[in-house]
Amino acid sequence: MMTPGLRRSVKATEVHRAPDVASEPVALFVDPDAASAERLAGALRARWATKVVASAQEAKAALRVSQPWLVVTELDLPDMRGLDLLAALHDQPRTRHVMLMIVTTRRMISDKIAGFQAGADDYLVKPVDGELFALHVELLSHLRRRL
Amino acid sequence: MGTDGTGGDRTYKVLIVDDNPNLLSIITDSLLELGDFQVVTAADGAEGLAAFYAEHPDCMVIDVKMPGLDGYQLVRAIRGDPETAGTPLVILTALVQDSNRFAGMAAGVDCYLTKPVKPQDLVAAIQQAIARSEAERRQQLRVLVEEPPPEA
Repeated sequence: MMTPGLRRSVKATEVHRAPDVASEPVALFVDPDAASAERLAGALRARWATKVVASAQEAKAALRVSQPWLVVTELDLPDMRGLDLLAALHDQPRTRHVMLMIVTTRRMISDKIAGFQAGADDYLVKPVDGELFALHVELLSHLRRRL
Repeated sequence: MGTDGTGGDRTYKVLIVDDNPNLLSIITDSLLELGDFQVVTAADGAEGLAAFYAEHPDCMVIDVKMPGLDGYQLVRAIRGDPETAGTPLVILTALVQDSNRFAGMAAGVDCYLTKPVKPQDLVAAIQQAIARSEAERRQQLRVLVEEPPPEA
């Protein structure tokens, strides 16, 4: 669980782009714990453009501007349940194809079941190893391309 | 580990998750006959996840097509938590296509078996899964990323 101080201190960051990749896919991280999200975003930056935001409202604003391939969200967001954000993305035709991952401090059985039932493709409990996270993302991408 | 599917003096607890009660019964009888296993069962993915935390099995044998939480999701729920990621996991399913196998291996399962399976092969897969290291599981994911099987 994030502290209120952490939540207040976080602001959306600029989109990071790998310099030599022309049309890399975009991953949107939604997490009030900026340090955690930035660390995982860093694990993807060789092949992905990444954007980190701290709330569901910022995520929705980012989604209006560009269409990510991947949304990674914490379940505990300051302004909305991460589950509701996932369900909204999963239910909307415009975002139904987006890969959805939960990266959270929550490890209750009910949270995991609810996460998958809301449409998550994967559920990782923090702390998440950077290489393992990148492997999960790349394999989900492989699987998605085969659908 | 002994040839009868047990670890010397140790009895391994195996949790089987399948929504077909007849198969649960057949697999349970096979494991009890072939080795000194303790077997517990669950009838779907959500029940399987609850049983996993309640029973702390040494290995799980998981069907894929189940209501609520499917087998791939159950594998991801267990592999995605650092406290449970090292659990030996075997998928036993009627889904025989390469894409299904790839989905299972990508989710992190140790062995992917298709039905019908010889009881000896299931025991061997359980043994293999239990003997696996964390490094081997990580390497499996690296190989799948670098050399994914060709798309059908």
